[in-house]
Amino acid sequence: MPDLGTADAEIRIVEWLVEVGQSVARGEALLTAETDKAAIEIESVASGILQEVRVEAGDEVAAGEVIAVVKGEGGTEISTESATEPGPDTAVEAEVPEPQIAPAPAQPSGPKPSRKGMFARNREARARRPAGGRRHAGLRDNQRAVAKRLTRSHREIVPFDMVCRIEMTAAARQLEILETELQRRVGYNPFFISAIAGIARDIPCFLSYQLGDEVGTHEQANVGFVVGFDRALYIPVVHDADGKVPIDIGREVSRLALKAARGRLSVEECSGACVVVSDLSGYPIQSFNAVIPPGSSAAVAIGGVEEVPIVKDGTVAVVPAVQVTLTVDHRVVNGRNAAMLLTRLIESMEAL
Amino acid sequence: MKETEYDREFLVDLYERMLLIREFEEEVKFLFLEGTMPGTIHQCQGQEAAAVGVCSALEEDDVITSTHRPHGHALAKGLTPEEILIELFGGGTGCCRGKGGSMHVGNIDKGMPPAIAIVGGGIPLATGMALALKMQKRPQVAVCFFGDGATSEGAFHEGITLGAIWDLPVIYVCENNLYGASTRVDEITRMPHIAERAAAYGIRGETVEGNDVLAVHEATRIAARQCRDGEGPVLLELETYRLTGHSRRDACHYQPEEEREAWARRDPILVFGRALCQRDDVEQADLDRIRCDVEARVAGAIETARGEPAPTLADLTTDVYA
Repeated sequence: MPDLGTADAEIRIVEWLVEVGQSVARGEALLTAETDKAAIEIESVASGILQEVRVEAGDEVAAGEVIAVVKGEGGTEISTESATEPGPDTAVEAEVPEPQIAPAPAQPSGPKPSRKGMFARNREARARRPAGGRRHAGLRDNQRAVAKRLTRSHREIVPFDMVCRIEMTAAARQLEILETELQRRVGYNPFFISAIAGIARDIPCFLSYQLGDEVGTHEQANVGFVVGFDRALYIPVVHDADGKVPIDIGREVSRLALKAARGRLSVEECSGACVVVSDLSGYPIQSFNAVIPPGSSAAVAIGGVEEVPIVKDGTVAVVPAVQVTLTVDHRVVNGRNAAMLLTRLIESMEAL
Repeated sequence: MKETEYDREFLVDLYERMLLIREFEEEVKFLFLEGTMPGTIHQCQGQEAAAVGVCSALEEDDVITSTHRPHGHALAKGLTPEEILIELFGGGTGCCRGKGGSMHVGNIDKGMPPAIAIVGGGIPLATGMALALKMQKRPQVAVCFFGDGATSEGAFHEGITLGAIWDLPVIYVCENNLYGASTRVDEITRMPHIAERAAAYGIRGETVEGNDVLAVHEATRIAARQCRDGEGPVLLELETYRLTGHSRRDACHYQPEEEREAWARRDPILVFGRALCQRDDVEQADLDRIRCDVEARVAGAIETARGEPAPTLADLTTDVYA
């Protein structure tokens, strides 16, 4: 892979333009790659049959890696137009049976002193660099979209936070039943989605949104949930979640999360959320604020489940609980409505 | 036709020089794609007639300044493929002893100080060299290559203003390839021709078909004579087109398909080769033979360049001023 990007950037292969087994000529476009700048067609440096593709379309690769092998047409004289007798040095290209695309820097033939190639030097420098050093990387499509939406959220939305604590004794019991039934782990998302959808239906400002100067209302109580991966972030949406029971929502959550992991979510499956839920209850964190995606009215951030002492009927008891942070777009939701949503959410979750 | 006014040897030499630049740039492209060539490179495929047309009208001791896209200018001015290629590989025996790289190739003994990669940066420098030539009462001229993008730099205005008020022997050569990196020239100026700007400085300006090597040669010959007669400066605008990305990392998406194809049909080497074959004393076979020679020459130069050792630590402070 030629060095197409700025230093250290990963290059994503978008498409192979030649199929394995087909022949390719030197100078013919072999693949399209995407750098942090743009998509670019890359020409083959050798003529022959494309024998092997080592990096699939969609994957990322560093400059200097071998990405494909082109098998030269054995014995065929490549430099047919050359008037001079090819000396031992110039014939190297024709003699090598399997020239590799972007191999380790070609060593000069003959006894000339060899120098370490640029890529080898870069690789060594990277290996020497202490861990934790900064790495620049190109953006994938998803990251670019996420970055755009986050920036828009930051620029437009006026966030307003409110925190409450919810006892999870009942929810924990229900989760066990639900996960046994579904035979897979889904976390607390289905319960929160179900509860929030019902509450949003009753407090209509949570169905509204403001995008720039445009104010609108969602027809249905759609609730999104955040699914994060190392290099991608998705918010699939359970549409019309009001009226669906947690077990059905659980199935949908599980299906959508799987599609997200494969990067196969459709635009529709990620659109139309009124409120989004971000569940980090499995981690030992107390609380956090979630970012409201443009087009939604609020985000509900669920902190880690911890054992806490609470006063119940005049005595101290130790119960599992979470801190929930509600962030609302203050342009469409006021403090009283936010407090109402949390009050109802506590009631619903503790009475599961 | 015009070609008949010149002798065969001269015309064939022009063709060979353009082909040498094309072959050189194409091979360097593959070296870059293979990963054996470090850095990025700015190539000039499609603009060969500008470099060769101008330099063929100059004397050996005339001086030129070049840009971040200097390979063609250097080859046209008489640098060898070897000394440039070694420089590109960072070898210690390159034309800048491995310290300049692609964007600074040059050889002062051959009338080309290391190329100036800063856009428009060569304009005041060429003006200064022309001032020196004039003060020393020497007959040479300075020629300054720059692109259309440079004409909106302050250095363009400042340099040409000085060149004009001091009547300096300098030819300002704008290779108008329509794009400053990715910005189209008509987005940065309302003037249909950059040569018209000459009027603002009280100097002569001329727009030339930049893909016609003989037209460029003629225009430069006249401009050079004018400069030597003390009637400089002159602003030449060579209309041409870059048949490659701004740099090797540029996918060129801003060049419309039809425009690229139209200019590809006006490829200076293609057009001139066809015109040469109209003569009684040139045949296609002659041109094919030249192509083979050029290919072998570049291939040989690459083999030489690959083996050259890099500068050592001991060379760190030599050849540098600061």
